[in-house]
Amino acid sequence: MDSNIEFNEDHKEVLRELMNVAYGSSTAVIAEILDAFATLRVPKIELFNDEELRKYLLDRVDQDKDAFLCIQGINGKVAGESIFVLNRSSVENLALYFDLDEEASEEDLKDVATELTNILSSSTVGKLAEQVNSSVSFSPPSVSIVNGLSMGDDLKMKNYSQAIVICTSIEFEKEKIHGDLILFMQDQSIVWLKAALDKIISEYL
Amino acid sequence: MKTLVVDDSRLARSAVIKTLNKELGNENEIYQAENGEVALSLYKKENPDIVFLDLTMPVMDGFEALKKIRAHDEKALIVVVSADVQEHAVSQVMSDGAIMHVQKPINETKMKEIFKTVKFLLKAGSHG
Repeated sequence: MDSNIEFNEDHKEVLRELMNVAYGSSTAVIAEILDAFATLRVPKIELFNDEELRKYLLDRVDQDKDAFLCIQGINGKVAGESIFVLNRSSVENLALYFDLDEEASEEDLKDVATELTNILSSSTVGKLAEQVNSSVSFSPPSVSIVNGLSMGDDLKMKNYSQAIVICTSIEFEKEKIHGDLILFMQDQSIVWLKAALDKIISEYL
Repeated sequence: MKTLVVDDSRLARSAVIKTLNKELGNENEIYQAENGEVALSLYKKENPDIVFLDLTMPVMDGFEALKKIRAHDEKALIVVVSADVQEHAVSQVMSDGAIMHVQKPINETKMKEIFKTVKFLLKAGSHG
């Protein structure tokens, strides 16, 4: 792997904490909308290739059922894509909070998944960028429904062969809503982010 | 002043210590713990004057550590410094005996506010 886009343990540790702060803020926004309480988890910072990402996702979704794959483009110094993965039952449970009943159409469910992705990913990535003194803009999210087993094929890391993946779960246990947020960053963004992290490391670690 | 800083992130611990030193000068004795379990054991051993406690941690999270420290010492002064800013999290830690819930990241202004509250509580002798 190109050493310019490799994160060392200090980079990962700092990024994990920045992500923790970012995700905490955005989860609070969702919790307020749902009038619910989420369990926050320590984020994982991983370098995944295609196969490793596929394995990770297969562990996280019900392989026999559909999953909603919500993708949103990120533009700015921290450029790339955020991917939010929700299993079908989570989206159906979420729909109840948006005044939709159990007979909600696929389009209605996609709308709900889109809305959640938009709030969660934009506030998380926005807060992450803010902490490294930058800002980002977002493209509208797109949602597709994929079979759990084929998710790895649908989510090819075509532009991110050497990307870092930041995985964070949102878990509203009582409401049975679980999702994973994954960020793919372009190589030049990783180089930029590494420099920003180095500044923080020199100041604090 | 003896201070216990509890966070699984070195960065977060370092940020608390740095702002703490700016507020108090270097005349404080600082202990660090990377999870609630280590914090509880250090608390029992060192009996610090104040604890800065994160919530999202492996092994034992801050919610549990808060309860256990307060069960051991009902006068423990515990400031929660966390990214978990959900209303439920804030109200839970306050009802479990934290003196404040402060949103991460910590900074000098927030630290000043913390010590205003701490001084008030110590003067009033009201916490516990």
